[in-house]
Amino acid sequence: MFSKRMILVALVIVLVAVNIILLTITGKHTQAPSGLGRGALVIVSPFQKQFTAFFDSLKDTWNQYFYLVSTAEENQRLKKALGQSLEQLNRYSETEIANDRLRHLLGFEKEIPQPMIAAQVVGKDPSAWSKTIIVDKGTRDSVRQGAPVVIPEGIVGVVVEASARYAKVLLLTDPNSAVDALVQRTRARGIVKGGGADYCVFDYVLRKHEISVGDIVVSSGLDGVFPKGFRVGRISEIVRQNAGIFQQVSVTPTVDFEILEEVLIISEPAYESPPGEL
Amino acid sequence: MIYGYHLIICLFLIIFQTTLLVGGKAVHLYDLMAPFVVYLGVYHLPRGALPVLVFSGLAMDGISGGVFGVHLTAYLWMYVGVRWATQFLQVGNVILLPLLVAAGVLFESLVVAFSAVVLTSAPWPVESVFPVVSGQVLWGAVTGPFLMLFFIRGQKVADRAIKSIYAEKGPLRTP
Repeated sequence: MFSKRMILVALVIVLVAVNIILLTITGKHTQAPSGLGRGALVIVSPFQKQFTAFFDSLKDTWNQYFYLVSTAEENQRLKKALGQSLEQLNRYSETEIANDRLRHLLGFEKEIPQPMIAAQVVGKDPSAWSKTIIVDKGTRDSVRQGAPVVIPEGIVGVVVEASARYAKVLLLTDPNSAVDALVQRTRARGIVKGGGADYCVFDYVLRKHEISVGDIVVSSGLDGVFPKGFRVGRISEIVRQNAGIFQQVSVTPTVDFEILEEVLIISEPAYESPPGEL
Repeated sequence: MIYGYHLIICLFLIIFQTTLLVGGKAVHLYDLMAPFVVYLGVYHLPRGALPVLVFSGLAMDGISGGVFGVHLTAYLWMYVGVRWATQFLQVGNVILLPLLVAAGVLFESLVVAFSAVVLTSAPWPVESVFPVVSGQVLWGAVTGPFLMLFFIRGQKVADRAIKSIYAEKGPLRTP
């Protein structure tokens, strides 16, 4: 009754439909089904870590040593002496920079009452459509799903998946991210959502609130994820339309996501239930 | 042995593009797995290609923050499409092969963009699709064929290495 070709076409249509339905279901969740995503973290992330460390050391060598030595080409004797000095100096300066950075992190860590876990960024999402990073701390280090991730400059994102040794962090700029926030100066409240590119949108800010470009936006602590007072970004654009009760506000994050190397994961929830409440 | 070669290549591509080729300047970077899937479609039967496709699809979905399953979907359908195309296209042709790679990159970009714009709970605006997809296809069309050549040459080297290993082992087996 039906030709072989017709059956094949019908089969392809059914498979495509089933495929889209499955993707629609998984698309509504940030976590992979049945821990399949965790499996990928377990297999791929150790290689990412080694690869990142290897290329960081290569990059440092290239930037700090060869480049500087090449400037002293005019004199062979000086070049040799200068090269040795620079190599030593670079080692010291690298150590100093790392020291400053870690002291900065440590000082910041002491300011925050919740326990924090320092983690290194080992991989980033290659897709233009999602903004995530992989860090080298997991459930073994008390990192849990939903834990906020910060640095001294501000909010980085939230842990969406964690294996024993690695975790996936959804960045603030991803459209799936949302932080309950307020303008530091005027206390105008709203929700900061990822804009996809290098900016965020500040939704639900009432027209009656006076805010201006350059105002700092901080977390309100009301979302139960991020502690109160963490910097989110600066207001970069405000559009007040004639109609509507809200203003359209763009926020530039204070964190530069391109140069993230270390982050701090807050291991306990921001919201503490009142005594007696279960 | 050929599974080993394919797994090493796909693991290398995934790690390479998630550690080095990321950042603000690389927004038009396409998924380097797309030319590899086209290569598998042209030169390998499902028995040899499917395990690698499933592994790489799940690995990319696990690392990426997008809709889970979208890379796996794109790789499997791309492979099916390339196998179908090879039935009537002379894919060894110097023009058709780059076209096939560009078509593969276009397909993969569109599938991932579709998932980001339609299927996710926080969809991207539709107008953001064109600049991203066009940039990815352009880069894919320019660099993808070179990657294909690299995979083909790599396989020849791997085949030679395997043959030499067996040739060395062979006399030992005979009494």
